This record gives sequence, C-alpha cells and structure tokens, in this order.
Amino acid sequence: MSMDPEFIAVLQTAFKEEANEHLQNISVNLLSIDKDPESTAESVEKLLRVFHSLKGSSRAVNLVKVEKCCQIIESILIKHKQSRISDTTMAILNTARIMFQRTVDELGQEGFKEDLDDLLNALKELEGENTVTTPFTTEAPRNEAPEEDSAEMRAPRARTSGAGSIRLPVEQLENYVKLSEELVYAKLASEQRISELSEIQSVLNQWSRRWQRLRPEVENITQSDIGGNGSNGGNSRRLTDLREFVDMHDSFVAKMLETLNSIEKSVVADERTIHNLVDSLLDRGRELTLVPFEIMNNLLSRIVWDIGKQQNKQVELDIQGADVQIDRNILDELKDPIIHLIRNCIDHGIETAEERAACGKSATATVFISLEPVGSGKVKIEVRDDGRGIDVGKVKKSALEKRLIRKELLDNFSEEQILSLLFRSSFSTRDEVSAISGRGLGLTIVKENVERLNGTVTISSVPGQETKFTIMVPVRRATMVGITARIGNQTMVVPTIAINSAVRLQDQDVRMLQGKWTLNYNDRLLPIIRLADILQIESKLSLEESIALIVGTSDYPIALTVEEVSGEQEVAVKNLPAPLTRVRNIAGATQLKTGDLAVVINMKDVLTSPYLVGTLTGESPLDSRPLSRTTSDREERSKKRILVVEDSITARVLLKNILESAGYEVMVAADGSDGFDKYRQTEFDLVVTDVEMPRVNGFELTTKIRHESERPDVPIIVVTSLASLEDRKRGVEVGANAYFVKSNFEKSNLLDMVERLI
Amino acid sequence: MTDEHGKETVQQEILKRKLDEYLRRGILRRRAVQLARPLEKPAIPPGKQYVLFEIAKQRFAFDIRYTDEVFQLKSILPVPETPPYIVGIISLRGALTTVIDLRHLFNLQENSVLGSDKAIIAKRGDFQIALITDDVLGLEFIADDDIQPASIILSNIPRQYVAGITSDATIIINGESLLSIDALEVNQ
Repeated sequence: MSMDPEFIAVLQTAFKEEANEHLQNISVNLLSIDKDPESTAESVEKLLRVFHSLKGSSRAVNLVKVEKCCQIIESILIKHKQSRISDTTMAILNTARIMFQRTVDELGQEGFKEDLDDLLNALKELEGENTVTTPFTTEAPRNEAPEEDSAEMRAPRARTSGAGSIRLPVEQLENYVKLSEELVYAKLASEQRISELSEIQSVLNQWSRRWQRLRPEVENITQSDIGGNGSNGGNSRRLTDLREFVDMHDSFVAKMLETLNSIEKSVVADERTIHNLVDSLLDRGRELTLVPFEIMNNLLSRIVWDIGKQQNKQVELDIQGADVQIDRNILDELKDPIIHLIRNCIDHGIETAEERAACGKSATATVFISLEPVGSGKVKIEVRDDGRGIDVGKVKKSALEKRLIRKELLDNFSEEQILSLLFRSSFSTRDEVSAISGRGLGLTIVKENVERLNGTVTISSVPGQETKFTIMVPVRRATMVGITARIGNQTMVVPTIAINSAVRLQDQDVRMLQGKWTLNYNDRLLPIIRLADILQIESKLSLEESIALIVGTSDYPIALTVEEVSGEQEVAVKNLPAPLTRVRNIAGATQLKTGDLAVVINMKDVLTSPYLVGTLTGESPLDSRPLSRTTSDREERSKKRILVVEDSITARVLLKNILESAGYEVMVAADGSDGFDKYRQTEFDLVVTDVEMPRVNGFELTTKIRHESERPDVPIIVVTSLASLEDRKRGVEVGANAYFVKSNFEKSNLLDMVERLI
Repeated sequence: MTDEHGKETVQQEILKRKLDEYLRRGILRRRAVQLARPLEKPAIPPGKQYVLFEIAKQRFAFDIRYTDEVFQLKSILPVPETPPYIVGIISLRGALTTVIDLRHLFNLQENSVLGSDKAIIAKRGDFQIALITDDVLGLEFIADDDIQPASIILSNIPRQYVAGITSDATIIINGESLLSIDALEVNQ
C-alpha cells in the first residue's frame, strides 16, 4: 500500500467519526431488542442498515475483516427479520460491537492489526447453524406488557440535526470558546491604553498650567522690547519671531490637547464597547459548552443492562430531569462517578430476584437517576435504587473490624456520619469482594472526583427500601476565588477557601521553639512553614518580610509564609497541560487579571506534603518542653541581662529566643542608635550586636559604648553575616570581645561564648 | 527556499482542508473507493518536508506532519517540582501547552544559553507540546534516501528519539516516540 500517509490519516479520522456513530446506533438497537422483544423487527431493520453502512466505510479504509464480519452479520440478521433472535446470537452481536469498537479505536496506531479472526469464525459458525434450522419457526413470544421506558430509550438522539441547527465537532466549539477567552487581553489592553492616555493628558496639563503662569512674563519681555528703542534692530526682529512662535505655539498646543481629548473620548467609548462585547461573548461561549445530561442516557442504559446481565438481576434505569444542562467537561468528569454509583447500586443495593420476591417487591428493580437545578449554579444529582438499603449495624461492625474508628467515637455517630464512613478507602460491607465493586476503593474515588469539581456527595438509606447517593456539583466550569501570593519570584494563586486568615508577622509573635519557628496566633502556637520550602522554590524570604497564611484544620492550624499577598480575584482554574498529568502541590494554572499565567496551589497536597509532615513530626514544635528548662538554671541566670541589637526581625527573634531559653533576661533594639539609647537607660551584662544596621552600625555602637557611655566595659559580641578578615580586624579594633559569623550560627556555640564572657 | 516551500505547504493545507470538508459532507463516503484507489498510483516523491531547527549547535529535523506552527515565546510560567526537561507552561491562544527543553531530554550541553525565543509547536493527536529551540532554520525537503540509521555518534541522545541522520549531520527526530505521553509524563 503506498497511499499518501497524510491522506490515509484524513480518511481514517473521517472513518472513525462515522464508525463511532454506527457503533452507537448498533448499541442502541441491540439494547432495545433485549429490552423489548416486540420491537425486534424494527430494530433488526435498523441494524441491517447500520451494518451495511459500516461494511461500506470499512472497505474504504481497508478494514477487510470488519467488512467481512458485517457482511455475515447482515446475512444472519436478514433471516431474523421476522423471528426472535437467540441469546447466543445476541451475545455474538454484542461481542462484535465491542471488537469493532476496539478495532476502530486502534486504527491508525502503530502496529495496528485487524484482530478479528475469532469473531469471524464465530460468525461463520453462527451463519452455518442458522441455515440448518428454519429461521421462521420461533415466533417471538408475546409476553409482558410493553415497557413504558422503552419509548424513552429509543427517543431520537440529541445530536440529530433539525432544520435550524448544524452539527460541529466539539473541539471546534471549544477552540472557539478558548479563542474568545483570549479576547480578555484585548479588553485589558484597551483599559491599559486609556490609562496611558490619561497619563499623557495629565502631563500635558501640568505643563500647560506652568506655561500659563510663565506666559505673561514672556509676553512682557517681547512686548516691552518692541516698544523700546529701535537701536537694537536685530534683537527686536528675533523677539518678534519669538512672539509669533509663542502665539502659533499656543494654538498648536491647544489643538493638540483638543485632539487628545477627543481621542481619549473615543478610546473610552471603544473600550466600553469592547468590554461589553467581550463579556457577553464569554458568557455566551460558556453557555455553548453546556450540554443536556441526556447525552449520557444511552451509555448509562447500556451500563445498567450490562451489569444487570452479569449479576443476573433484572434492572431498569429511570432518568428524570435529563434536560438539565451541564458543562461538557464537568459532565465528562461526572461520568465515572455516576457509573460507579450505578454499579454500586446494582451490586450492593439490588437484591436477587428471589430475595425481592420474598420481600414482595417486583422482580424488576430500578435504578433512578434524577437531576434538579438547585440554584446558585449548582445541580443536584441523585442516584437511587429500590434495593435492600444499607444495614447501618453492618457498617458499624465493619468499621470497627477494620479499625477505621474508635468504638467510643462511633457510638456517638449519627446514622449519616456512620454511612459517610463508606467513602473511606478500604471499606466494603459486602461479604465477598465482587468483580464489579466492593473493592473498597470505588466510593473513595467517587468522592475524590466529585470534590475535585468543588462538589459534594452524600449517602442515605432506608433499610429494605432504598439507597440514595446525592451529588451536588456546579453546572459550569469552576471559577474559584484565590489570593495571589508571591513565592520566590513567582506569583501563585492560593485558593481563598483554604485560608483561614492572613497575618503580617510581628516580632513579638514569632518565637523559636526547639529549633522550629512558631507563631503566637490568638494565643496558640502555630508552626511556621515557608511555602517556598515545600515547593522547593528558591526564596530569600526572611520572616520579617513575610506574611503568614493560616491554613489547615482548626485542630491543627499551620502558618504558611509567603513573601507578599497582592489581592484576591476570581480565577478559572485549568488543568495542567499534558504531559503534566499530576504535579505535586499544584492544582492547575490560571490566567490572572494581568494576563499572566500563574499556578494554583493544591492546599490538600501542601498540607500532606512529606516536607511539612516531616518538619512537624520530626520534633513537635507545639511541645512546650523547651520552656521548662531546669528552674535552678533560670533563677541563677535571671539577674544577667543581655541587650540584643539587630535590625532583622528573624535574627532578633532567634537571638532573643536562644538567650531567653537559656535563662537570660533579654531586651532588643532595632538598630545601633536605638541600642545605644537602651544601653544608657538600663544596666546590661552583655551586648550582642549586628554589624550592618541603618543609622548607627554595630562597629559604631561598639565605639560609642566604649567611649561615650558610663559603663564602657560591658562584654560585646558582634554577630554578622560579614565573614571577611577585614571586618574581624575592625571589630577587634573598635573593642568587641567576640565575633560571631551568622552563617555558622549554632545555638550552643553562642551560649558558650556568652557564658564565658559574663 | 523558504518561500517556495511555504507556498507548497499552503497548497497542501488548502488541499487538506478541502478533503476534510468533502469527507464531512459525506461525498467521500459515497465515492470512497473511487477516490481512494486512484491516489495509490501516482509516484510519491521518496521523502518528506521537515522543520529544521538548532539546539546546542546541533541541527534537528522534525516531520512537519507533527508540527503545527512556530511560536514566539513571550513568558513561560515555571511549574514547581517538575523535571528539568519541563521548562514550564504557556498559553497558546488559550490552550495551555507544556514547554519542553530537548537539551535535557537529549543530554545535550545543558549550560548553553538558549539563543532564541522560538518554539516549535509539536502535535500528535490531542497531545501538544512546545519545543524550545536555539533557532528555527525553516522548512526543508529531505529525501528518504538521504536518511541513514542513527550511528554510534549519537550515543548521548536516547535512541528512541532518533529516526535517523542525514549526510549533513541533521538529526531526524522520531516524532512518534517523542510525542507520546509515556515518554514525557509527569505524574507525581
């Protein structure tokens, strides 16, 4: 085959689209034969047409075996136009559908092979069998009243095009919406142009006012000289030129200002137009991505049918409110959770036919799905079965056996709370694990998926009557409110919902406990963790520059520090693009008002990150032990008073804490000048000072103490980041007793030095 | 050179669109056989169009079948805790796209500074990435005959990414293996 590969690719894409449609049709018709044998003739007629079309298009893309299979199926079906189709035949037709689907999906992939020999053989055999038996002998048994639902199942599909509508691929629509979202920048840009224009205007106005003040002066000069003697003819001519220019210049500038004004007016008007147009375009674009829930009807019916078959249970599906519109992407994400809940209902909830008969229930069980918009952009989706319900006692017993919860706690649980345990991972009340559900992970995943959509899922049950799952999700793509925070040199979005409050770190509230920073917040000591450390971003953030976001549960709050918080805004969070399937601590990305992209923090990940957990559990910062050092030590040292002079809060608090925890009384000063004042007012046994400080630096302070104070002999320790020999020399020259370099700052080392000097 | 080939791609593009439209309208469904068979016969030139670009002083060629466009990068948003070959993400007219640095993937000199802000948007099916380059050199037709299997010289570039090398030492990238989620996926 030497067809142009590009052409083949185009052909295959078209084929896939068409074939998927055929397969969907096949699925629907097989289903209605199974549900309603009455309709067999009609369905077979449809199936014949579909298989025929599939045969034709398969040939075009060289799927010889699919073509052959379709041909045999056609000949089998023709014989069944008037007769009932046997279960074996139905099973093979269903297998054929599944195999075809796989073939269609895999077409075009590397190493693709039409793996249909088994199917072909089975079909050939079936065809042979059927020629032996008389096809018209078995008349369809006319049993059971026609089922009301079957009409709904065969209802025309949503995509059928009416007179005033067209069909177009979803990607095209989504691309269009995405493109219109890009217009937001045009909108922002035009806002920017307005502010630039007004800036020019104000500059010009300033200039103009100044010129108006000077103008009479200039006029005076030019006038007076003209009226003066003519002896200075050359000069006078130049002044006349100047006066003319000034006049011309005035009208010129006035015209400029006028033009500028009118430009500004039209730009403002344009901006308003663009603003309104873009906003309504965006709104309508978002509407376009809404689809009715009913596009899932066929799929869900199929699932119910399949699982019912496997479990040997007769199950009906009843969908109410399928016309409710939901964003495509959300519906997509809901598909798996809903399918799982259906599986769960059939597997766990619905009894066997015998059991149902014993309870006086109808043999056919029903899974109900109902949708109802509940306002504020949310929809309530209920998945309910009329089965045996959930045995709360059994859940309790299982929870205790699996040690999910302590008995004392469980005894106080409401029924609802007990049922919610079912969403915990590794939970299944089913005695045996079935192939479908009951592996204990399913409901956890349902919950996770729904929560990812900012939704909730709850469970309730009436024993002996029903089990009901209630999902609440937003109808539209989630927009979220987040604060923009600077971490390192990046701006990131932290979901506001995850933040209890934000506080600027204050000197007196920050404390070092057992080598860990803590924040005194509302009389509780919270561990301080830098978000930059968790994200492994370089940040030169020091505590005094930072803002703490109070996050975590109320039982265990944490102060997460960032460098800056610059406001709150509504953002639409997008998933990270492939191949970034999942990135730790990052929930997605979004476009900020400025047009820049920013990543959105996944607070759940952050709060469970190994770094944070390690830091917190390595040594519990909430432990109060470090404060209760041996009391004798403290008393003995309580008389010793130390002055800490340091401009950085971080270092100041650090030093203060180290010295206080060793039992010294500590006073702090923010720079050398402040330090010298304090030194003169109070008697100190030792001074610890930084070198680089505003106003009076550490060397100057040392000099002052040595030469200008009443107690010049106090021991002075100079602490600094400067480690050069020159600095060391300078320190000694001005009279420091010891020199300490911040980079090799160790608690014991400093305390040793202090003890030696006092 | 670029002009002529540019024209050619435009023509190809037009042809492709037309075909696409025909397919959608079902014309080809009816005439699939007639349309498909004749196209088998004409001799197709033994070669393909490639986008040529340079990274770390090495010339690479990438099948245009997998390239969408050349994109001028403005700013790239870094994503914390991703492997070094992930530069970050950009918004390509609203579609978030991951920017890949092939130097890390191909073990080229990593200390070299990127010479341009041009990225090639590479696409296969739904999977789309931006390949950051030092320079995009243009389109070029490379005959199949000119491509030799990758030799030992390329030992530091993982073999699966190389489809071959031309006589003037342009490395032909294996688009299929590069543009697969498996090769690049970050799933923590």
